[in-house]
Amino acid sequence: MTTIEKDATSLGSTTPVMTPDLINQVGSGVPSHELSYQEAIREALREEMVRDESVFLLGEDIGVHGGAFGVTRTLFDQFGPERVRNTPISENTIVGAATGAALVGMRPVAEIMFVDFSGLAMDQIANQAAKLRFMTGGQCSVPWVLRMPQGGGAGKSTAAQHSQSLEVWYAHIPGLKVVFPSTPYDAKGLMKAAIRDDNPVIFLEQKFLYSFRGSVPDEDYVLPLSECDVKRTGSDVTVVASGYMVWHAMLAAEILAGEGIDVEVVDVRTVSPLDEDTIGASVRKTGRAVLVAEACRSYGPTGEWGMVVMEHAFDYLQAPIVRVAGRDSPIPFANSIEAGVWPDSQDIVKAVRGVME
Amino acid sequence: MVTEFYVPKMSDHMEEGTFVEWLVDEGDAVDKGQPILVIDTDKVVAEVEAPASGFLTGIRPGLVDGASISIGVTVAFIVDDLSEDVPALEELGAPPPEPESPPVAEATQSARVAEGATTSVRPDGGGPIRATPAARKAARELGVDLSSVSGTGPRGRVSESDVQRLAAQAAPAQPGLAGDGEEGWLELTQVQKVTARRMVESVTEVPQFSLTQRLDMFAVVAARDAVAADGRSKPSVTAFLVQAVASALSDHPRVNGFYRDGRIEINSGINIGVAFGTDAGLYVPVIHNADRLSVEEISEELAQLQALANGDGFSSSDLEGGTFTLSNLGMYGIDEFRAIVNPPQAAILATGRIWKDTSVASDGEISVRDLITATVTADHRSLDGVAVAEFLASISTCIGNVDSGIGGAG
Amino acid sequence: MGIDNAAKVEMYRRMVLIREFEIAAMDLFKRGEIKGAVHPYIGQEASGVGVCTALEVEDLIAGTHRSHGHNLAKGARPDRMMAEILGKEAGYCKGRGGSMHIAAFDTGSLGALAVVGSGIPIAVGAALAFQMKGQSHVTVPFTGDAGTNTGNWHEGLNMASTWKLPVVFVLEDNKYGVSTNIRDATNIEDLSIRAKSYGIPGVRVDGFDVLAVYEATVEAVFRARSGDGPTLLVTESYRLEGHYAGEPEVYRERSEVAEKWKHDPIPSFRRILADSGVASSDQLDAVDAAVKAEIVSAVEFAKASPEPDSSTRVDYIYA
Repeated sequence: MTTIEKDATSLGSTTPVMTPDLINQVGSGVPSHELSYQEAIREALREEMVRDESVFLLGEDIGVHGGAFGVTRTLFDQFGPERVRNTPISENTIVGAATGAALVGMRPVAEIMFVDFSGLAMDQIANQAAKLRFMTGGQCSVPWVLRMPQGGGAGKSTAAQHSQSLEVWYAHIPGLKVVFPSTPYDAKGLMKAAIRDDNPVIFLEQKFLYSFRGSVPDEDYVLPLSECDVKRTGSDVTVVASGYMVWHAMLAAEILAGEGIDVEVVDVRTVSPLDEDTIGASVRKTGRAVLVAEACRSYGPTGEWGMVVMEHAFDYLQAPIVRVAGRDSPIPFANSIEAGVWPDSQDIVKAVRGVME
Repeated sequence: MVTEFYVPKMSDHMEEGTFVEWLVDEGDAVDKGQPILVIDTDKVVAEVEAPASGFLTGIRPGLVDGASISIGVTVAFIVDDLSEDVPALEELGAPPPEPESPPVAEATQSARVAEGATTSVRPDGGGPIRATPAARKAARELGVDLSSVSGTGPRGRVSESDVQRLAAQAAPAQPGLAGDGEEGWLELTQVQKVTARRMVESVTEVPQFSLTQRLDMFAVVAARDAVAADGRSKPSVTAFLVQAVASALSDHPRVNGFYRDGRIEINSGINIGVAFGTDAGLYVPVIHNADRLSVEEISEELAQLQALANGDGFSSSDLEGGTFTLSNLGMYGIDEFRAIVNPPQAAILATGRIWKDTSVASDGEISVRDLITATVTADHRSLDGVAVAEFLASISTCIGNVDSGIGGAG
Repeated sequence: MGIDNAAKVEMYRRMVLIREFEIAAMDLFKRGEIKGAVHPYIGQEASGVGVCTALEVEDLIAGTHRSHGHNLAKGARPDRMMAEILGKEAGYCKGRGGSMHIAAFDTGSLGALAVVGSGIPIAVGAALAFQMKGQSHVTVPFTGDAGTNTGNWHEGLNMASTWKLPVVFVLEDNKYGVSTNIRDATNIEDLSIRAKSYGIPGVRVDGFDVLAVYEATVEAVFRARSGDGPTLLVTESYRLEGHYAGEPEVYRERSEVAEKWKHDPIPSFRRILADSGVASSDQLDAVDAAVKAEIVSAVEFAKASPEPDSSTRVDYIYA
């Protein structure tokens, strides 16, 4: 296995490293192929565009250029400029146009180059697309997908306006669905589901994961947009995470297994609507919860998950709920102060040890 | 009117407390019953209530954090009117250089609630009771008073297992038999639920074995008869058994210890739990420090416990701290039986009725003896057959050496 | 521009319908029977009716917070409109939208989008869909003068003109954005010149003249259907009532408003119809009476309708 990441050396020489086999989602014997996260998204887009003529892409530099992260690369060649549509730099109108097209039968997949730019489109996302079906008493639906790369990665130095994790901005708006896959398998299955869903779906892609590889079944599959995924079962403590943090949680679980601590990892791959039952059931089983998110700590996803634990598992808690989250800070540029702005597996290990006391 | 405000005795063993803080200031109005002073006993952080309404005044100097205050020492006065004269109190002795940190809580510790004081367990020295939600739920379900549980978690937090451990002290060594109910369901009482759970835990988690021996009760019978002849009330057979067991345990500390995490935790006190049947289920109240008591004292305590069993019920302090359990079903005509270990205790003694049998002495003399069949069931993680055999031999010796005159401490 | 007499009378009828509807709505609002807000379209009837008469049912309009008139002009029923603004289940939006969010998809109204300028990108997207599907329909987003200062408006005109989308951007210059006169918010007199920077026609027309608006719209729609792209159509209009029903209107002189009332488009059009022999005064009186009766029954219908059942409160949040 190729080592994808990272400097786990400080955890000790025998520490597991972050390799694709940390997460296996395709059973042996199932015909499959290996894709990166980026390729998995592209494959989903390609297959859905072939399957359904109403699916088209729009966004900045997504044509020949293939998008800022190359996700749409080669799709322009296959589907042409009509269905892989370069737009002006007009985020609000990219989203609004997607909404208008969706209202009359299309299934647009729009891309905002970085989630940080989505503030420019917030009216169209939060006031228009999210509410149109409701405001009109069900006269319409808005079946679009809004792809937005988000988040950071140690040492990437993308600084304050290109690195944020903003899933809660959108999870806070009823009418939107928010998806945040952690693996190639999930990315493909959830993208297909998002395209086929009749609601506006915010599809967040963790930039650092684009190169992560994993197996994807050869046959067509669609994942539900309403479920958390238990990435690892365990009995002692539940670690709830999403996006890149799922990998850190899985690595932490490996390390902790060596200490006799049996960690369950719940991947909130659909941020909203939130599958509260899976989180609740897991914590009722383990009695302990460590919540991990890359997003800023204050008012972040971990706060919401913590309340879900309180509402579904209060009487089962053996220890206080602990959150491990991004620092409440704009993302710095210099490596020396960027370090530690996001949590990692070591933080999770420490937090889990703490709740096991 | 001037009322002295002094530190009351707040638990059986309390000699002194440690000053934590005043909850009111000099000159403040206080109501009778209002908590006004916080002190730390060795096991309990307690709020001391005002004995009268009025104004607090004349606070004794030297009451600083960590200062020791003996019970009964006046620390301030409560007056109807601040113009009233009160005696000037001498400065309290300086606190010890290093006040003892709160002791590490142990499952066997008891938290005692004194009259006139509201208490809460605060091993960390602050705030209300710390307990996990799971512990609170367990306490609710098991009928355990959380304030009586010593927390072993971070900063003294009570965990679910702390509650279960305490509940187990209250659990009998034998599952209670549900009475004859009508067709349908018969709900278990809280105690019976605890019993059910703890017994399942015992048989699933504790590898158990049993050794049986007949004990010659001749000396006991003789002692009882002698006491009766003296016009005093006869100590119960159980009291003699408790005394003999306590004596044997002092020679076999392993049997008095708890197996925990690959080690044996030695208990300093020898506290014998005695199974009592009640309508609500079986309880195991504890004779604390039984090795220091005379058989008559033990018998008296047993009588008191029996009265509680019949009447008001046991308090949590009655049920805490057991290090060994005796279950005597002799009074029910049982010949012999095997009990189940009551975790975390290492062993339990089950005894049947006294019966007469012929005995052939080494010299061939045949006599009729009073016998009892004693079965010790033990945790094989901390005890082996030889250890239990030696323990049984000690019991046999003690029970055979009972002083027929007074039944004094063995 | 062939438009027969019957069509002209129908234009008149719709203008009166809007006027009477708004009068009734303002009355109900002032009586406290309508909650929230009512933004009357009084004075702008000629603009909405002139534009919508030039459209087919399949053509889509996108409105604003002031869109009772747009919807009625496009063919929405006054009874279901009134039920909506009274918050009733029989309303077009089942009481979920209210005055500011009436949509009537069956008449080709994408809905009233009450954040100023926000309908522009949506209409652009719908036009994009028409273009991609090879359909000849057009979309018509309405904005007021203030809406042209939003980023939405400029982004939308830019994108639509770049892609030659079938859009007619109707800018109803009613002179005020809430209390702010457009002259205090923009450095140009003629808003239609903004079209130049997007390389599309900018047409300015008298918004009190329903026939002029109609004719200009027909031309813009033809251009759009022909694949030549969007047009900016500015209708010079005036808001004869306040920003909302009951507004104190401290920002403009009574004399200014009184002067504009002299040019009230409805009596003006009525005079034209009568003078040109299109319809007799009696015929037009009959139209007026029929509309008034229709509004009365619309109000009765709306009042008699039940409110949404509380058990349906989470309906329509997700498809």
